[in-house]
Amino acid sequence: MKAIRWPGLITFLAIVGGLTLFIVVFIDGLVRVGLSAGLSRVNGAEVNIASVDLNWSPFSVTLQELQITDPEVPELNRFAAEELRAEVMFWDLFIGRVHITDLRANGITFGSERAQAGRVRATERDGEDAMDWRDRLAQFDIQLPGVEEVLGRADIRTPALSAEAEERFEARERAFRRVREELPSTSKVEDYQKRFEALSESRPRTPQELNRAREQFRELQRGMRDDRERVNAFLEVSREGARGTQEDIEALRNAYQHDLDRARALFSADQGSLTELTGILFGAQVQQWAEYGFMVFDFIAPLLQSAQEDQEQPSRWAGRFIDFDRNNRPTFLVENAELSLGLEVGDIRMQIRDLTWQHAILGRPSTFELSSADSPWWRALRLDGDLFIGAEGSISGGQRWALEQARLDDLALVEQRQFSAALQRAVLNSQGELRIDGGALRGQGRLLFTEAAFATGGEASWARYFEQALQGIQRFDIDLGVRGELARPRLSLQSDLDNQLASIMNRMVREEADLRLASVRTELNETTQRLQGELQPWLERAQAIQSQATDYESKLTELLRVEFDELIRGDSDRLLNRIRTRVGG
Amino acid sequence: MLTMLARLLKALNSETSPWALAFGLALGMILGFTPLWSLHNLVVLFVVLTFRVNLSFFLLAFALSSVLAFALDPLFDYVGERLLTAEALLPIWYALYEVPLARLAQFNHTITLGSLVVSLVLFVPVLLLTRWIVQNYRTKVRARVNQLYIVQLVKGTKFWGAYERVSGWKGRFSS
Repeated sequence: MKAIRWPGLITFLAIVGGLTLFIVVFIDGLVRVGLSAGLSRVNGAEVNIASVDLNWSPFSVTLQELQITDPEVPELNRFAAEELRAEVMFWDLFIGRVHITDLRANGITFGSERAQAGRVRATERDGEDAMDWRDRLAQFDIQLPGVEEVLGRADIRTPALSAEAEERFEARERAFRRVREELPSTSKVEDYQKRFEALSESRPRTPQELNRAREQFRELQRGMRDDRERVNAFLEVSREGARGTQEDIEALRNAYQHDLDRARALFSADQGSLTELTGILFGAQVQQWAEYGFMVFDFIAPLLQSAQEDQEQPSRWAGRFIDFDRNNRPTFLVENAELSLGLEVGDIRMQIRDLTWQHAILGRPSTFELSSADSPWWRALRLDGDLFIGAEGSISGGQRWALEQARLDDLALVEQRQFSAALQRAVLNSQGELRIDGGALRGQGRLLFTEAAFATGGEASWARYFEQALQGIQRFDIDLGVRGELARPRLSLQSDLDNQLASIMNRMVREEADLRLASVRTELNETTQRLQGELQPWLERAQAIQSQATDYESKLTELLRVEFDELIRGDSDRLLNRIRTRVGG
Repeated sequence: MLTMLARLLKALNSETSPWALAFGLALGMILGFTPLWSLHNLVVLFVVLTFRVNLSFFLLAFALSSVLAFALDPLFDYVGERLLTAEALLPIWYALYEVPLARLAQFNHTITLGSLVVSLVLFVPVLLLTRWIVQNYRTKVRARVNQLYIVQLVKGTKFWGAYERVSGWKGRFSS
């Protein structure tokens, strides 16, 4: 029996040859699929590569149209590159080591829109509490109410109170008129006096005359008593009416003042809403600048960290590669990367050295540097920093930036139907620093705008306030604060622009509010003046009549106090004098 | 499936060397247990196709071992991890790390090394045991089995037709 099976050997060679041919023909596609899957796992969301080209000497991989989905916003790419070429140490790939000696990427963009939303691993999407400046805009409203709206919406008391007071006044006046008609006339009171005097001087001599005089005296007393009751009834109604009217007038005055205060409050702008103008105007733009600025920390560091976790906690069904490198090199290292960032302001080149997540092994941090001078857009831009991922996965590092004389033209700040604003031109200088320790971000920077000119528009009623206010502002600065976690930086903006805008807008709003308040005041005035014009003269007249009635009452009371015997039998002169003195006759 | 089973019976009942059957089973086990796209599997395939190893037993062992490997991967990972991190073996691993062929073999991957070592450890026992079973089957069991009523019944079925057809083949790979 022959030991070797020749047909089998030929089959083996055919299989090996076929496999080799298959790999040679389809290697690009296989690498594309493998890279897409591996990067998607590290990224936590779909990664697309249009095509892959392999070059064998030196071994390099060129990726066309690389798109890395943002796991938090799957409609956007967190990173995209038109072309990415990496020179890789070939043999290292077989032992699970990725050693890229040179990496070049062109047409890099951040936050670009995807043709369709990328698939995201379920664990990657969690609650997003990032600040949305557009929400602030939606909340922003310094619209002033109209006069009718103020009178209708607010708790305005004057008109209702006027109507009630008028109604009460009419009732009082009717009652007053009724009791006034019952009042004895002046001549009648004088007639009582004369009859009283006549009676005291009558000197009755006979019992008949005495009886007649007594009868006349009683009759006189009855008449005076009746009239005094009428006078008292009048006084009671009159006093009550005067007091009520006085109270109504007072209440009307108070209501008028209250209503004016209330209207003034309604017309005043919401001071709180004027403190976030910088955020509304520049929030989205600064956030975009920050995304560019913090690219290394915001994108590369989390990606490296994720890759590190992926490598250090492999599945027991997938196994892991163990490193036996005598030189103790990192298992992932990009020695040198030259990136061309396709920003709105043009292409910027960035250099990264020693990109890895195994800085503890490498013994030095990754460094990155971006420098651009005398571009059409700015006089100078410098950005540099370092990044160190510790063995336990903690990230630390720093970044500094300095931008000199950047020219901004037609920079859209807010573009919404209700309000739009653009920075037509400005010169921007900025510098700042960002530190990260154990994943916690801390940093601050300053943006100084000079020679600024704004353009605004929009349907919102308050848009014109902005238009007028921004016309007067040519110079302002924004202090940028950065806090929070690495993957979720939180920006805060503070600016003297807020103060400038708030001051100008407050003044404008106040002026307009004063105008509208004057209308409200006029309207309330009309109501109160008309009523007071009726009440006050009536009150004065009622008080005059009341004074007269009081006089009547005292005269009648005095006369009624005299007894018949005292009038006839006593010292008539003394009595008469006394009566004259009392009643003023 | 029936044809496959028929081939197995044919190989078992033929004059094929028990070693050929045993090697088929042991090598199939290596291919099944270890990651398919490994360099050593090219060697296994070369041996299987070039030398007189029974292909039916090889394919059966490959299929069964592949299924088993899904459950055994954590064990292979554990063995590979222990071996690759054993102090005494480190010089070997460091030396191999510098050899391109060893890199191609991905010896430093825990499951690759663990499954290969487990397969190699089991190789000789599986080889000897299979040969012993085949020999004993042919000398002691086969005659009795043929006399069983159930076997007689089976001989009248469609399956037996397939077996007969295979028996009639003079295929070059069947020996």
